[in-house]
Order: sequence, then C-alpha cells, then structure tokens
Amino acid sequence: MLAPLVDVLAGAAATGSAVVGLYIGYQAYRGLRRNDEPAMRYLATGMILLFGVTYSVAVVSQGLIAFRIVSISLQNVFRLLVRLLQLVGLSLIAYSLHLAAGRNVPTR
Amino acid sequence: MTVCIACTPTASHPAPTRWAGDLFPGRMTHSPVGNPDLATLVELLDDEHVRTMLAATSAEPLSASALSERCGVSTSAVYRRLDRLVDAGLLDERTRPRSDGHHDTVYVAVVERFELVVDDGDIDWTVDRTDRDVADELTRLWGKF
Repeated sequence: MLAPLVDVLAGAAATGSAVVGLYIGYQAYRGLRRNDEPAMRYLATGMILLFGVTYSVAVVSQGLIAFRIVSISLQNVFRLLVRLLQLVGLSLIAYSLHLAAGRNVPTR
Repeated sequence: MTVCIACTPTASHPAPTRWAGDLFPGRMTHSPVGNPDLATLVELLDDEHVRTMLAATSAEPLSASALSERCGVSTSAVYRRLDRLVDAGLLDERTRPRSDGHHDTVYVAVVERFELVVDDGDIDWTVDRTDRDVADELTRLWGKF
C-alpha cells in the first residue's frame, strides 16, 4: 500500500534534483558564455554530468530492466556507471574550484 | 519604500541595506524622484551608438574596446558615452578577472524598461532596472571561493 507511494516520491525527488542541478549547470554555462570564465566550463560540465547524465542513465537503465530488454544482472553494471559518472562530475567541479581559486579575483 | 542603487542616497531615497553579499537581489526600480532627468534619458537614447551599446551589453558584459568594435567608433567616443550611461544608471560597471591576474572593466546593461506616462496633465517616467544576472553572480561567487 505504502510502497508505490514511496516509489513515486523517490522518483519525484530524483527528478527534482536533476532539474535543480541542471538549472545550476545552465547558469554556469551562461556564466561561461557571458564572462569567458574557464572555471565555469568545468562547473557547468560537472553539474550536467552529476545531475543530468547520471539521472538519464539511471532512468533509462531502470526502464530497460523493467521491460526486460536487458537482463537484471546488468543492474550493478549500470549502478557502477552512474557512480563513475558522479565521480567524474564531482572531480570536474573540484577542478573548477581550483581554477577559480587560482585567480586573483578582485571584489566588485 | 523603493530602494535605489544608482544615485546618491538621501533620506527619502536610501541606499540598499544589503548589497555585496546578496545572491539574488530583488528587482530594483527607480522611484520617479530618483529617475535620471528625462531630457538626459531621451538625449542619450537619441544616439544610435548608445542604443547599440545598451543592446549589446544586455546580452553579455562587454569591455570598452569590444564596444568600440561593435559601434565602429573610437574608444574615446565610447568612454564618453559609457560615463554618461553609468551616471544615468543605465549601465553598470563590473570587473572581470583575466588569466594573468589583472582584470578588465566590463559594462552590462541594467535597464530593462523605460516607461513614459502622459496622464492627468502630467508626464511621469520610470526606468525599470533588471535584476543582476544570476549567471554573472554565480561566476563572481565561484571565483571568490
């Protein structure tokens, strides 16, 4: 009785995270375009990987497994892929942080 | 009470209490009392290069030399207009870090709408200023870490 509701809520929260993450990534991309700031390229790419790409991979893999297009034994492979993408995304954001910190940015 | 960022603060027209640390500052609208002089505004907007400069800097922050290229006029002619536009509160001056540690001064349009109302034997005008761009604020904050 409660399980489907929890599933729906979990899905909605995951979608919400993806949307908000992509919004920040989009603003970082605009920051890159507007200010030619290289740190924003890595921030934008990192955010999009971390939230957009991992979310898409998770949804697609769940769909493939649910409709038995691929074997359920691949579930852990998809999990690994999502984790790896998260790691790459976070590494890009960390790198972006160092790029930004390496600059002498005057305050307004 | 309307708070104005573009002119000298007075008792009836105070400076904003929060400014530098604001992530998402609210919309700031000039009250009529703080509007730039209508003649100054119209005179500025009568200039084709001024309109080009406002349009170009509404898309992205641009330096004086970039604006000089866009308008096809000398940098000194651009600076003359920039000074007047900043004074009138139509453009905002920002700094942009360069990879060599120095920084460029860039300009960004902060005017979104200019409204003239002729009504009841009176002429009134307002200049609506845009919120500061979220993407620019993110870039600035990210660089501060």
